[in-house]
Amino acid sequence: MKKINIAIIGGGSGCLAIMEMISGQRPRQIQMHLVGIADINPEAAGIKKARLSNIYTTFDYHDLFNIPKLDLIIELTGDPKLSQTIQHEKPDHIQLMDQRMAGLFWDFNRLDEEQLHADEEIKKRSHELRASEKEALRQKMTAEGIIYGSPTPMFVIDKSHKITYWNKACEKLTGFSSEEMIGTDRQWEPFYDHKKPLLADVIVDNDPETIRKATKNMELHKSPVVEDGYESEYFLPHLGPEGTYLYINAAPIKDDEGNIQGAIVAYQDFSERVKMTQAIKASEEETRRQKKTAEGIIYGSPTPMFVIDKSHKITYWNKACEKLTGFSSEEMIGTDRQWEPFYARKRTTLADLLIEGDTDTINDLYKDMKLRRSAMVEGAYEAERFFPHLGSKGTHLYLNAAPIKDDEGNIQGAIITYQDFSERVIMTQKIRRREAFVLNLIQNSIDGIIATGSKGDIGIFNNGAAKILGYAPEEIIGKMTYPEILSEKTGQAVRESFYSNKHGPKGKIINMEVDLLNKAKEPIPVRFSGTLLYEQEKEVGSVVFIQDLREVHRLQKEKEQAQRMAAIGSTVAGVAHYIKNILAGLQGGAYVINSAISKKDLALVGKGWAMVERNIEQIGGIVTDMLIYSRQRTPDYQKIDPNELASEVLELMEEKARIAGVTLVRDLQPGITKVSMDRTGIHNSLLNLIGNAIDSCTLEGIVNGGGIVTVKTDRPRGRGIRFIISDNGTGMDEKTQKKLFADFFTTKGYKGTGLGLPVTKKIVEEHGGKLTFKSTLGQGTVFTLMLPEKHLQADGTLQ
Amino acid sequence: MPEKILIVDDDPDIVLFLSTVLKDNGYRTIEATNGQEGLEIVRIEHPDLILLDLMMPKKSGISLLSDLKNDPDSKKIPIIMVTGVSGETGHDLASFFKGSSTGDQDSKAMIPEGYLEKPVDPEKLLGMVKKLLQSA
Repeated sequence: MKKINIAIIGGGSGCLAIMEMISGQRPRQIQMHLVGIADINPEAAGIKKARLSNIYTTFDYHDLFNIPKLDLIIELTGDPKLSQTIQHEKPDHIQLMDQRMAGLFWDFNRLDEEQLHADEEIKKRSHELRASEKEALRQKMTAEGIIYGSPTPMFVIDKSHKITYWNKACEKLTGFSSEEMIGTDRQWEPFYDHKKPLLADVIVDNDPETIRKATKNMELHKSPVVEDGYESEYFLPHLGPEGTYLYINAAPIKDDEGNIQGAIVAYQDFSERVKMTQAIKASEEETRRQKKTAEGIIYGSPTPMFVIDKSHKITYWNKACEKLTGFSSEEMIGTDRQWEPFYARKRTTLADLLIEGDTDTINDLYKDMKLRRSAMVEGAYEAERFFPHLGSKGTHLYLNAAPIKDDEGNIQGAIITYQDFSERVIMTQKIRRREAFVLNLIQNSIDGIIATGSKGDIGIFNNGAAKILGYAPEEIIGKMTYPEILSEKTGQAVRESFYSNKHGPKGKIINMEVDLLNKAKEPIPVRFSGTLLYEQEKEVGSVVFIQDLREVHRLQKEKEQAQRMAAIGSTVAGVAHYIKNILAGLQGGAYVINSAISKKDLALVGKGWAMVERNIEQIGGIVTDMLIYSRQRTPDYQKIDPNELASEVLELMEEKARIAGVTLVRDLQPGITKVSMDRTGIHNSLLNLIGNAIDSCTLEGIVNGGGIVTVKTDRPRGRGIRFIISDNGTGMDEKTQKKLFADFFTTKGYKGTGLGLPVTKKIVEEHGGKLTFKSTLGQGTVFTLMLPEKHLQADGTLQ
Repeated sequence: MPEKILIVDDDPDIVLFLSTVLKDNGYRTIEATNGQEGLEIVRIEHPDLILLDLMMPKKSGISLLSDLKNDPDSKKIPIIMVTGVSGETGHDLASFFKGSSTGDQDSKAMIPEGYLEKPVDPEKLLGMVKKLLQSA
């Protein structure tokens, strides 16, 4: 530790503060030591205090310079001149701290002290805290230790039913480790094969009604030892390989205010005791049993059975009975535990009552068992019952209990045989459930579903059918037959379809559209699907599904109407544009004629008139196109030589091609037979396609007669006729190709109506043919017009 | 000597109409039915103004316009594009030409001095022709 000797000049309040600071300082690296004070006033507070503390004082500060080993003078007079003087006069080894510095120093020191004080406080507090935590932990560990180390199997659940403790002994008892159990609500798992609340859960829930019930059902009684605790004895068949007998004690865990925070359960296993007893009994019985090998028949019988004697003890418990109950004959014979496989708690069984001859009680106790006297065996009873405790899901048993009488007619025992019909019951339930499901499905389907028997009598008529046809199901079912809801015509059509391959294979109808008659005898359009039902190749009825098409038809009509309106809209726009151009031509012609008349130039009149005529012709053309396009028409079929037709059109196009500098190439397959087609329609179509091909060669990029248009005819696979019109013109980009068949789309400005290709396509499709194309921008386009083979009949209609 | 105006159009009706309008108003007209022919006539006849259709066989109006404007001998001849391609058919020629005027030197050469949409209004045509011939 380093020591600093300090002297102070000026004995006022500052001096007192520093004195206090020095005297109150804690042990540190540097220890301050006050060795002298100077002040001209001998009554100054600092001087007085120093005198009391035996510290050197003087009125002349120069005296301080002589104090041995003085390290620091603190000047507190606040006189800057004095500070300067001292600075000059003081010996070199003494440092000077003026009033300002001293103030700062004091502040720092005070802060430092406060920090130290705070640190100490924290240290103290945390120490206390740690001590209390340790105590809590110790207590907890003690409690835990008690539970954990206890030889009694125990577990604890909290109020949310989660396991918080599961001790070593409990692990051993249940075979479930605390690691897998703690934090879960699986406390039921070691004890039962399905989830059910344990006594602990009941206690935590603290529902008086549940507790009351549990008390009744579980032979539960209040613990005489533990406050609010319950006790019970159980045999838990699922615990351990042979089941376990347990004595159970469960009690709530309450907080200081008496609220239940959890429950603790302790077990005591008394299986060992029971086993010992049984073993002793069994060995006694063994000898007896072996003597009676004659009864081996019983033992070997596939029917579960057991026999009790007059004293209610089991004398036989056969192999099948072992299998049924899971209880071995070794453990059963000689005991009166015949109730045990069948009931949760001990009770008098039918066999016992038979021996007592207590028919009144039999009738009373077994009221719910559908008990009846056996028709076959004198004095015997038969019953059916569901035993919920037998087997993992309970067992349905048919049982027959017959008394065994001696020669004198005295009852010597009783024999009980069983028949397990669980499988049948489960199947019945399953079928019933599935039937209910199907019935539900049928009843609630939006589609109408109707089923009939072999004579057309209606057996199923669901809500959907009722809604479509306006009948209530009860008006129909069992009262009406098919012909009454089918018109005569429809009935015939439906029968025909069922027995032919029309609308789906024989015996079925798929999506046939027919009219059914509703209650008001109005025809209702429906989509009709159905199937005939067969049993061993004999028709036994039918099921049909009907969908109401009224809404569908209404929507279809609306859609068609909307489409027509849209078409009219675009037609008006397209036509207006084209007419405007024709009008301009007519105006031009009129202008030329006027000019010619005023100049008396007859030749010019002729030219102007020709111009007017050409435009009138154009109006004629567009009107024809529009008529073709707008009207649904059937082609006027004639036998036509396709090559002749193509040649005719090519000739017409010669002039146009010549002006455009385009070469027309004919590639007509010789010897093509005549094909049925509409002459005008296909003529116009070819004119259109060849005209387009020439136009595409005259646009930008093809110069000086480089354009070639080829017209090819052939009959692929010898059927129909194919016209292929190809050009090496501009081709089309994808955008143009997409819009190609759209109405009034044109790339030819005012020269095109945009109707050519739609009209051509329509004509071809009216023939049942196909118009397709392939185009590459900058390379050309190929159009294929394919007409199918049609055969004209003598009367001019198509076959 | 009246000014000589070349009409290039493949539609004889248009040619007849335009030539009648122009002749009635004191101009001389010469005619060509495609771009190729038009180019040859320009080189021989040196017209004072050209009315040019846009789409024609053999050589389009655009192609001819480009040739003429790139040739020092003919680039000063005012050209009026006469076109049926209008906003209604999806091609806006006004903005097409405006678009090229913001481009480089080559496309700048493509700008015609005027353009008219078909159907051509005689008054409009005459006004434009007069104005262009005066400023030439």
